[in-house]
Amino acid sequence: MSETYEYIDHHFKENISPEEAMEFERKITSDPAFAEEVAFYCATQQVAQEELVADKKKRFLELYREQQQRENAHAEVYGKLRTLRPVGKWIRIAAAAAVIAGLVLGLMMWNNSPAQIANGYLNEKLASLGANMGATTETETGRSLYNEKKYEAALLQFEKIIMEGDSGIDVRKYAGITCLKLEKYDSAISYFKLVENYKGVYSNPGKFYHALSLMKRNKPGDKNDAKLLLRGIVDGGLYGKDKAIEWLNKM
Amino acid sequence: MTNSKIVLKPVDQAMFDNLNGEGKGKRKSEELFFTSYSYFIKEGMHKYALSEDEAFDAYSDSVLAALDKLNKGLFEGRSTLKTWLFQIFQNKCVDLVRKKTTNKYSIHHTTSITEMLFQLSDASKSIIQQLVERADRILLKQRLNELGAKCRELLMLSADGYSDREIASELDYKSPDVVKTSRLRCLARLRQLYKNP
Repeated sequence: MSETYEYIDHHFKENISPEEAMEFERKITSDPAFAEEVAFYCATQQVAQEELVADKKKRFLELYREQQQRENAHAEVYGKLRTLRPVGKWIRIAAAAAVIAGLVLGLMMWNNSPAQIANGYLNEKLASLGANMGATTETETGRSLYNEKKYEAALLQFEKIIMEGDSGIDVRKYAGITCLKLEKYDSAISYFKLVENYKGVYSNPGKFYHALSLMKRNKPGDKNDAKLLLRGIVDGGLYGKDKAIEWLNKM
Repeated sequence: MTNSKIVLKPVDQAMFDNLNGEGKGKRKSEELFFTSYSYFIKEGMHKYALSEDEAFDAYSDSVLAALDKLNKGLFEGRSTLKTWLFQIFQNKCVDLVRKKTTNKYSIHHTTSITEMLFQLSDASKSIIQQLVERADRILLKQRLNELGAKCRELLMLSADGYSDREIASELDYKSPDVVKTSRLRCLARLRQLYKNP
């Protein structure tokens, strides 16, 4: 049987000579059994091709369904993302606005904090001590040291002058301001309280510097105490009234 | 099988080489060819108002027709593979629409005469064709499926136009001669099964 099929296979699959082809055709017409085998060979080929197409279509259908499933899954995820996206967008906008507002507010609060107001004043108005016509040489030495930012030496100089019996208001004011620069707030407050007690002075800055020291120290309760002092300055029309109004508005 | 004279668009070179390659990977390439342009199905549904099943049938028939033409070296490379396949697909869709509208759909589900009969003279062809038509195709199909996976695959690959050398490479046979011997034995066994159910 295999030999017959080998012969048929050879005819259909390989290049054959015209003589071989003639012999093959003669056998078909003269040998019904052989013709049956050729027909079986051809029918098998045909059926196998039909099966092949069916198999391939089946496989294509599987591939198509897999592809559809992937696309549907992708569309589902994408759809969810799309529905989330507007919410996400507003969340991002709200978060960004909150951060910006927080920063602005923080900056405003930081700028308007008592310590920051005091710092601004110290750096702007008390960067140097102005000359005093009636000042002694020792006081001028201390003032020069202050203006050279040699605050420790300046404070020593001012304290030395006080120890030596100088009873002037200016040297205590300078000592207090120098203490502020050295962040010795308690000492500064003590000096400014002494300044406050000077009577008969045309424009006593004691209360104003006292308030400034409290603002700079910024301990719990200092802000309220500073406000009270500042209100007192405003009400009494004392030294630093304009600044007191300005700071009260900020605090 | 391969038409080396074709000048292809660069985008098609890899696909064309794979589809015309021998042995292993060819089936995967056919699947890749199918999936690469399967979006035509949706276009067929919209453009020709076909159901998804109909558009799928038209597309899978188009792919099979294209693969057959490629196999026979009938792709001339005048357009890209995509354009070429789309033209085949459009024709299939138009055919389908015509068949549906003229109620001739079932008529077109007839079986075609195997191409190998065209190698015979008219006298021999007539004899064999009559015998083929008398064959119990349902039984033959049934026996083919009972033959065992290995034999079935050998006969199917042969029917798909694979040479014995390509089958040897695809199915890891030692040589084309071993394939040929095994294939013809399978055919003889199928004949036995068919004759003595």
